[in-house]
Amino acid sequence: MAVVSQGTPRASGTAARPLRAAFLGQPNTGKTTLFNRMCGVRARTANLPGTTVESRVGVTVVRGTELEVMDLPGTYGLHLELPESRLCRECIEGRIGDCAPDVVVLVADATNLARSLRFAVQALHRKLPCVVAITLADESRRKGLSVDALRLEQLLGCPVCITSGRTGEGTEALAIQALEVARKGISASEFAQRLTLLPPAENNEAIAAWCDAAMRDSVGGLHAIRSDALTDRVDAALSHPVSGTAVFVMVMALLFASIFWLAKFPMDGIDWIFTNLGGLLNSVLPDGALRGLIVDGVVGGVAGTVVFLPQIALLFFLLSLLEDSGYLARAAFAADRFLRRFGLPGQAFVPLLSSHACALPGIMSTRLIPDSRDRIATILVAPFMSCTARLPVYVLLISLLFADKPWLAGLAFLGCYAVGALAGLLSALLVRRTILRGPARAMMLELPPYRRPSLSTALWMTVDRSRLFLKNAGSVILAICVAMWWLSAYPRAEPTAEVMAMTATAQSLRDTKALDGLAQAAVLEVKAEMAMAEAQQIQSFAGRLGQTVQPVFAPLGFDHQLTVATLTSFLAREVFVSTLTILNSVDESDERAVIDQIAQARRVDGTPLFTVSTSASLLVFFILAMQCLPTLALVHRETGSWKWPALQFVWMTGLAWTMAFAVRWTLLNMGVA
Amino acid sequence: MEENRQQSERPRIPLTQLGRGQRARLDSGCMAGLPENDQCLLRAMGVHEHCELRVCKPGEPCIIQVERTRVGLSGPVANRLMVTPCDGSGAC
Repeated sequence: MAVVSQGTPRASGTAARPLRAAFLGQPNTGKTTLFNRMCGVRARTANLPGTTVESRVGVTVVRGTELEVMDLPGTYGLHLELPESRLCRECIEGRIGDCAPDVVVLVADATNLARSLRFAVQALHRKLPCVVAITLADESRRKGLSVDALRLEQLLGCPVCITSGRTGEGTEALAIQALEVARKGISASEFAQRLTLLPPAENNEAIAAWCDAAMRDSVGGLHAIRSDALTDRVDAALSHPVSGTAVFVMVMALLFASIFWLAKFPMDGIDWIFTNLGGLLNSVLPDGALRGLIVDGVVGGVAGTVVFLPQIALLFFLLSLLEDSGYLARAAFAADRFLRRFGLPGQAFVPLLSSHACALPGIMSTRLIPDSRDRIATILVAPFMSCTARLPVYVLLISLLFADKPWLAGLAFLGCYAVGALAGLLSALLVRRTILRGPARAMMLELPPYRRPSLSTALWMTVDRSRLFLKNAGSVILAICVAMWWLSAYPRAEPTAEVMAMTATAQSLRDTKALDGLAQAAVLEVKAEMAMAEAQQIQSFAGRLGQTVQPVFAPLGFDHQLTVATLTSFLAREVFVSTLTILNSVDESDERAVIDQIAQARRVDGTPLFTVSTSASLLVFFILAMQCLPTLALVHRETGSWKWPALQFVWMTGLAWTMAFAVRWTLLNMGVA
Repeated sequence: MEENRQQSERPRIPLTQLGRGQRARLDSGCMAGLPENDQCLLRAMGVHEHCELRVCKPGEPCIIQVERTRVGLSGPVANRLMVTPCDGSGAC
């Protein structure tokens, strides 16, 4: 058996399409480990056609023939009214695109066989060629359990293979068996024969009795309940209101700190690479539109996307380890106590916490949430959490508001995070009681056994998710970045009289070749460049849009400069500070000087740009507003609709405007300018 | 017959009333207080009528073990799940 290639499920009927097997089973049965063993690291995650639910797809070669393998989402039953059940049902019945499998591999856990058999009975009631793969054979042997595969074959009416994804035992035999069954298909008489062996699908009691009998015949009886005092004690500690919460806070703090700090180093490295690449291209390419497009549009856009990759990769690596260890299910219960009050499930905690680093990995990790209403509610409110991109804006505005008052500045900083989180939780409560109304799904979670997490599985998951992020989100984000670059770069501004005068003076100073003259020329050239950039900002399509839109922001105290900076920061929030420095011709090399110089900035009428009321309203606006195009693009991708990002944008920005207006109005009425 | 009679005589109590390590049996109709979808999910997770369970941890969440599966249940679910406790000898 060899691994060759991978990709999204290929359409049936095409000459290139190999036979296809779908792996179907309950969660925690070792299904994905078995899939990884058979398809290797080069398997890919792809959304099933027309859905936002993903499936991993790989190809394995057995005796010279390709077999495409799809790892469907784990589901407890095909009859359940849950998104993953519906998807598996529709997929194996061939009702989704061209994904109909030629054979269904029913994955059953050897250490928990009775439950797996109940699942298999349901699936075998469908007229599908099936093979049963009994997994975790190594673990079951360690526990003193043995399965009579031949007897099970007779009872189920389909081939049974004993396998272990961890050791590779039986995987080749499974692939051969699946290929044979896929080639052969299932005739009406064979299916009728199979049905005579099975209990009626609708009769729970008959199924339970049949499974008990099958267990006696093939395993020697039901697996008795065995007390596990150590697991009991650990579970009791991890779900205790005090110790459980303390461990939960510690684990989440470590997770958060890793995303925040560990990812900083590779992020700085990526930033350095792209900065140098931009510099190199700037020096190599001739000045003009092509250089602008490549350096500012393409390289800038790619850098803006790729810089988030370390955070995303690290998050998924750590989440995979936590999930594999069995802790994540326990953590969901710890968070559920608090989040349930806001209509969110316990599983929403990790996405909300991750969103404090960046909303992109946070939104991607909502895939851990099983209920679609809960998941969409979490996606909608995740961007309220204060991400790192907001930090430069917070630093600037808090420095302006509380200069020389470090304690108040510190409290204000904390307040920014608190306001964002509170707005998110209250918004979640609102959406769960209105547009996403429905009964809250009671917490009923399987608590998988504690296991040493698999590093290779975590690495495969990380590589896979990172690739998916770069492919899907990156392409949309890049397109938007290029469009935004074009809007701010065109039409090209003509040099103003002031710029031309400065350039001419600089040139004449250079001609003198005196040391003082050269230094003055350099200063003048920088000023001319900044004045040109300011003219470009104002005369570009984005700048004109800012001036047109300015009346909307006037009640918040924004003039045209602040409006342009706010609009350009829609591309990425941190752009706000750099736009202000360009508009006010500030030297960016000294951070303190930037803040001081921006604090002195004036409006066209000569009044200060940043009054207390304007700074406060601007701060509130930035805490609450949806100003991140990449996030909106990702929300579209994750929800499969433009409806949710549109609603998110309108709600967050509308709330931000209203709250900013209320803050400014209150301050003005209190006599604070 | 005698065993069945003894079982039917034992009172059904909410799962939340069982202590740590206690065993109980789920009988027909034990999930009647739960919504249909929750009943289906519990059965699919292995918590079905006529199965025996052990309480690993009472309270919130209530953690039970059925065969080899551990399931965590939030308080409201555990409170609506009616069980027949096993007697001191362990018979259910």
